[in-house]
Amino acid sequence: MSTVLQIIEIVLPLLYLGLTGLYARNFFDQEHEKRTARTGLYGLLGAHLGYLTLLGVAQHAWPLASMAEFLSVLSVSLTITYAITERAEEDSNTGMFFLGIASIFQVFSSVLMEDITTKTHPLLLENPIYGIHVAFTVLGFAALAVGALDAVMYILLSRQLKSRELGLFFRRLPPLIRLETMSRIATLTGIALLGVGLGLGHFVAIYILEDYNLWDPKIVIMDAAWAAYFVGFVVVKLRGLSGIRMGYLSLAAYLGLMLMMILSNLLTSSFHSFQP
Amino acid sequence: MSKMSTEIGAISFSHQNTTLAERDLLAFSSSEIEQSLPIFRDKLGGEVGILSTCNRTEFYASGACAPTLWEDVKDLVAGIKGVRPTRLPSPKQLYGADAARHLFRVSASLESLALGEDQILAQVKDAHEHILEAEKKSPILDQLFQLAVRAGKDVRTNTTLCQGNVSISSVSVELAKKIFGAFKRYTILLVGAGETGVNAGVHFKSAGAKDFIIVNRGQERGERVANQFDGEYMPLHRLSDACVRADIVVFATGAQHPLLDLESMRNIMRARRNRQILVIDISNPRNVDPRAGEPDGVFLYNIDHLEAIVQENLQERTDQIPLAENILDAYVQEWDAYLRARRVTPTIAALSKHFKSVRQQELDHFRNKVSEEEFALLEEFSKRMIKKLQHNPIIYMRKAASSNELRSEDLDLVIKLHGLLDDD
Repeated sequence: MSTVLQIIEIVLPLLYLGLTGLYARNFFDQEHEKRTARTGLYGLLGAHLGYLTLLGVAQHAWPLASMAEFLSVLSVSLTITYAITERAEEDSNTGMFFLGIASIFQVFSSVLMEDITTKTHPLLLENPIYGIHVAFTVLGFAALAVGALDAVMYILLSRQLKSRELGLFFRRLPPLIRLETMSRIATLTGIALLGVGLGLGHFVAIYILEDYNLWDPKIVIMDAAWAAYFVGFVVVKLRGLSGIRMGYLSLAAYLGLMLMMILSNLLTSSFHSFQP
Repeated sequence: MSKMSTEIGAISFSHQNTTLAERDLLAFSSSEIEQSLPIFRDKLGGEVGILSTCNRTEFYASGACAPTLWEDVKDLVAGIKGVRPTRLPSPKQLYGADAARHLFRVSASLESLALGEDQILAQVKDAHEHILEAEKKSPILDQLFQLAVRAGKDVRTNTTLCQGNVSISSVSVELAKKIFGAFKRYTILLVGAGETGVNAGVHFKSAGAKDFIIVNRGQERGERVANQFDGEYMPLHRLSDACVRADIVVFATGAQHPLLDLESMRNIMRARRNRQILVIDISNPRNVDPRAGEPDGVFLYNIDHLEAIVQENLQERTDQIPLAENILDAYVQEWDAYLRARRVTPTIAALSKHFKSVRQQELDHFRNKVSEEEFALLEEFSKRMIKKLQHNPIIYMRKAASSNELRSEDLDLVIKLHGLLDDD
């Protein structure tokens, strides 16, 4: 089982990168048929979900015990979000962006993934509230990623329209207002989901963990990042910032959040190391 | 055996060889085409088709008249249009494969004034409909127009010749769509109630816009245009208020000084809470100070910017011409193959007639010599036999004609062997 999982962990990021390449080719050259990419997308989703199931079965627990597993679940959540969008909108031009970021998450996941024979999972994962906390947190991160991606597309299209050099982004991307709306809805959804996820995390920590410290740097960093997101959104709403400024803000906030998450996991190993 | 010409001829009056006044004079309405097709047909003794649009009037004919088409119809056209024949301009005259390729190029919009325009294909279909609705059948022109319609569709499907907008108004609508998507929820402000502004408004309305504000110096005309769009009239001094409410603003006035500057635009954007606004300035001289496009959320396009986009789109269409010509080559070849196959049709018909005649003679010979049941068997037997005897020669002639391998000597041999000339 361990060997099979290790092989999949090498193949999966390659499949993600290959599919991103396929979507990029379709984005730049519309002459290509789209069916191969769509089939590849569903194939990849099947493979990734199969991999997570296999991982869960092998360790007899939800595959959410480490940063690597968290990133892999984040990657598949983004891909599912994109697959639903592509089906609803009948438009595959945003695939390059969504799959690009999902690929990055999966590459990091595969690099950080430990061998299953040497890995143990926290007993905490058997607690249902803990599971809900993780699920909300992952979905929150995925929604914020979608918001940031829509913001990137908004910035690219807005800059082309402003400079009057109407190139590929003008031809391929959805209308500016739709990107702005999708980014706002995704960000708001992300803030709400992540808020619930963090709240449940506090609840689990207070009632289940014995050595819980509210001032643990990781908790402070994550709570501060969420609060910054929340306040930023309220300020944008109240002050009516322009679309492009909101786009930059959304992108910067997401990058900041990811950076804080990585730093807090790299620099401190106190609480929430994802290990028992 | 009669010999029928299958060649076609075409005469074309278009923007390439006539003035607008001459094209107006020569234009045939749909009812005029219906009425005059039988007259042309009687006069020429062959198949006739007429294609008439605002930019071209063309006559297509098949039969012996094809090479001298213009000489034959000139007086008739002059008579229908009520002018002296000498007043008619000289047409472009085409014959044979050149005439067929010309129609295919027309259908593919390669001959159009606006390269890649879409309307012409529907107009070719209309001309085809007129041919089909005529009392007398026109199999050759039917085939020609069928191929033309297919060629037009093929070029549109397999090239980007008809993609990208090539008029200022349609580019403006495309830009607005890229910012706002559907127009239903958005407000269009027309500054200036002249012809240019109204035309732009019509384009937005046909693209789905519902909410219009018209700002004009003259109240009476402004209100009239506002009524035309079921919109609201606002006087010129309330331009800033109107801009705060609108999402797409089209400036088309004769004002000699800017109506909107950077400071006004900043105030407008503050009042709009930075909601995006598309400003299209198609006035000459410009009505909007170029610096008014600086604030975030303002997308300002003037006539030069729009013209540059039109030229870029036109260039992209021009780049597709070689690809379109390659597609049309295949249709010209198909047309040639059809004509070659048609050339053996009279021989095949004569051969079939000859066999039937021989069969009938033999049946008559036995009619009163056998019982009714036996005669019925003879009928069935002879029918099956001549069918089998004809099969191979007919298939051979059709295939050889289609692949251009049939020599006239071969046809002569078939005719002589069966005495087909004597049958006539």
